[in-house]
Amino acid sequence: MSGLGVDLMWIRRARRGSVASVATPTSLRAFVLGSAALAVFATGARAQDFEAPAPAWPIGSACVLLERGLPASTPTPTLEGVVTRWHGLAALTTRAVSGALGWRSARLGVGLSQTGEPDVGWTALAMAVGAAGSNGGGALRAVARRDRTSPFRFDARGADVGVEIGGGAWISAATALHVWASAPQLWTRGAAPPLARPLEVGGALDLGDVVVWLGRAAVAGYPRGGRGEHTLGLFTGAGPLGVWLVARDQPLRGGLGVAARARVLRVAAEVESHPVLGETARMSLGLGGER
Amino acid sequence: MRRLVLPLVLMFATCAHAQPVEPPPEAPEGVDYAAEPVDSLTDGDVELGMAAAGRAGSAPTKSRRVRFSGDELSGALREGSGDPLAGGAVEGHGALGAVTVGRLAPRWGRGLLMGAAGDPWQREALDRGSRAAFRGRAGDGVWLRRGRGDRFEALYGRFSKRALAGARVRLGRVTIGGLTDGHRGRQSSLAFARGAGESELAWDRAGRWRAEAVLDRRLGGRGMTDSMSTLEPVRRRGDGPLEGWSASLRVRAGAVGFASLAESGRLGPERALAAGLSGPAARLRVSLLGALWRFRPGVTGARAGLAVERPLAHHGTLALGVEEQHGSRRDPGPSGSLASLGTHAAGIRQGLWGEWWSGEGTMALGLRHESWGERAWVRGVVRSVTSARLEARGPAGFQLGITHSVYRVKRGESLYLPEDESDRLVLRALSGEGERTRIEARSPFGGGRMRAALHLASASERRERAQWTLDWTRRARIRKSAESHAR
Repeated sequence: MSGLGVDLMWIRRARRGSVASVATPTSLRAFVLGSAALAVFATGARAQDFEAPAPAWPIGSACVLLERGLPASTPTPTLEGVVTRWHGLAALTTRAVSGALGWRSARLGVGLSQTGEPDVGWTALAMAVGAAGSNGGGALRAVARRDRTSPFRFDARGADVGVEIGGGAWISAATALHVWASAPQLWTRGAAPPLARPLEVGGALDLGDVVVWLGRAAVAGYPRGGRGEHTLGLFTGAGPLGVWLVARDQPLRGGLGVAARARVLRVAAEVESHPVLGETARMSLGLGGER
Repeated sequence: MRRLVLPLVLMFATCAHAQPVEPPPEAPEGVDYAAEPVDSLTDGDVELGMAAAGRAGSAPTKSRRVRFSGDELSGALREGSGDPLAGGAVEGHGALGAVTVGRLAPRWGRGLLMGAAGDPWQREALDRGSRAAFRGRAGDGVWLRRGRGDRFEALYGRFSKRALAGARVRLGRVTIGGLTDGHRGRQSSLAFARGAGESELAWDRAGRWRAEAVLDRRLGGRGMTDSMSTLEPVRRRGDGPLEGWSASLRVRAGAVGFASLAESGRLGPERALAAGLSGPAARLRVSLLGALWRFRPGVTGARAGLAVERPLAHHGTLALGVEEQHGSRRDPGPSGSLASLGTHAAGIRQGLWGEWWSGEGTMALGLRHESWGERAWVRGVVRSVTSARLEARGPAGFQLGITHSVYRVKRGESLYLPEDESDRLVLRALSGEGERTRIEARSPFGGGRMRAALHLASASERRERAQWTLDWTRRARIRKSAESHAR
């Protein structure tokens, strides 16, 4: 589960041919993992295993709790399934299911995710615990990953296991202003995670039907150095429907997301373009949760 | 002055004055620096502390400390292998006056002979003198103070690796003092203080001299108020535009080659001009600083900065600042080259920083970003650090703090990250690119307070061994206070 040292060549090779054009399983694994690494290199500090299509604010998804350590303000139980196709690569698809529940101010989330094809992908098991209220919340999250050799099992014999522990917190700085910070990889052990995810901070101005947010992800250990990568987003909702736009820099790119809710059922989809790597598409089906 | 420093001690605990910090010039470049904040004890109190620290895979180091305060005797002692703050001082009050034995950090007048400021733009030393925010160590020896307001002072000790003896007498607003090393080194000082103005002239046997004067002036009728330090709005209805504003001016001049016998690590510039302006504007507190200096011919520097602070809801604060520096910030010495000065290298440095803090009750969150560039508009970043800190309070006095920082420091530059430990402020020297996490838990334990901290760091994709510290402090009253006796 290493692949931090890849370059753009891996993606280009995949686009010219197919996954089978890569000769050996070892190369294939490097390709898939490397592609994942590159994907997030290109998308800043975006999440990976449990990234759901949703605006940065409000926080209501179990995936956000697991991926960024940001718990929802309400204890409403949620269950969510997510499929992400990274940069149009069928071999690089993430499927995840996650759930969260709360009791008073306590929050708990668990999730299971698989990325890539059997034999070359990995499985991730995540858990998050935290506390939240109307004015703020924080959580610790842990993810364990292991290469997999079969579609459903978590049993790649001899494969290394990697663990990462991190957390996040948000707070309402003013009536309509919410600020968050997330450091998903405070501590890592074992096989290195496919993606380095440094500190991310952001703020959202919630004006009711319109939410504007701005985020900055510090980048450590990257060829670009310590530059920050910035995110600007706009969400607007009308009744059960919601639409959001996202713009990111380095390189400049954008995304569009839509969500619809019917009673406790929520469906969302998001497409994000990249000038070099193509489109990343996410879809989710959820029960419960917020807007 | 404490208002300038204590927020840095606590880093995120308050947001006022979020300026970047650096160790004093005598500290080695690129090495962690520890300073002891002044925390006074009530009369009759004694404080015991035990600490252990270590890295994964290596034996821990232990340290102990005791502080006590009484009518006639008070002191602080530290012991521990490798502890840069080891040592201490004991102060007794008797017929002779107040006698301090041990670590000494006196300040005379403007500090030209004793108690020099660390940086050219600083008004006063942060770790010298009785009102300093930190306990410094200029030397070790015996210090006698006698009379009302320390009318007479005498000291003998080892300062700057040499034995020195000195005395000072205050006659009204004038103070006369002298220092000698018993050989050819002899220096004298004449100081004058009146209201918010203070000046000092110092000279040595060779006729080299240095003079400095400082003047603080309230521009409005009311001037600085206590409420300004808490960032509350200070302008009242009917106030003039300059109400609450204050200005300061500091001028230094002298001959080349003058060097204090006691503070050889803080020679400072031979010429300097610094001006400051601060006050309220709307709901902001604005601070302006400008300074020019010359260490010696050809080694000059300048600094200008603007800082703005604004109180927010939920006890929050937002602080923003910009700054530009030119030239050398520290004297490389006659044989030193400017290129070897690291953060003090000649050339332009533009910096900006922002710090935000909010929270009340059980949780608080703070964010900070600081960036320095070697070209205009903070381009060509040479130092950059982004930090987030979460403070959470649990039941039974339990507190948890997590600080995570991501940094990038260009080769030849230095960046210091302040970390507040139970008995000290540590300026952690960072280099290269990396991340640093500090997880800290505090809880009542054994009649005192236990504090455990874990430091996780990685630099340039290299994971460093985890560091940990464990500290227990207990403060107890050994006798009833004077008020209790009176009752």
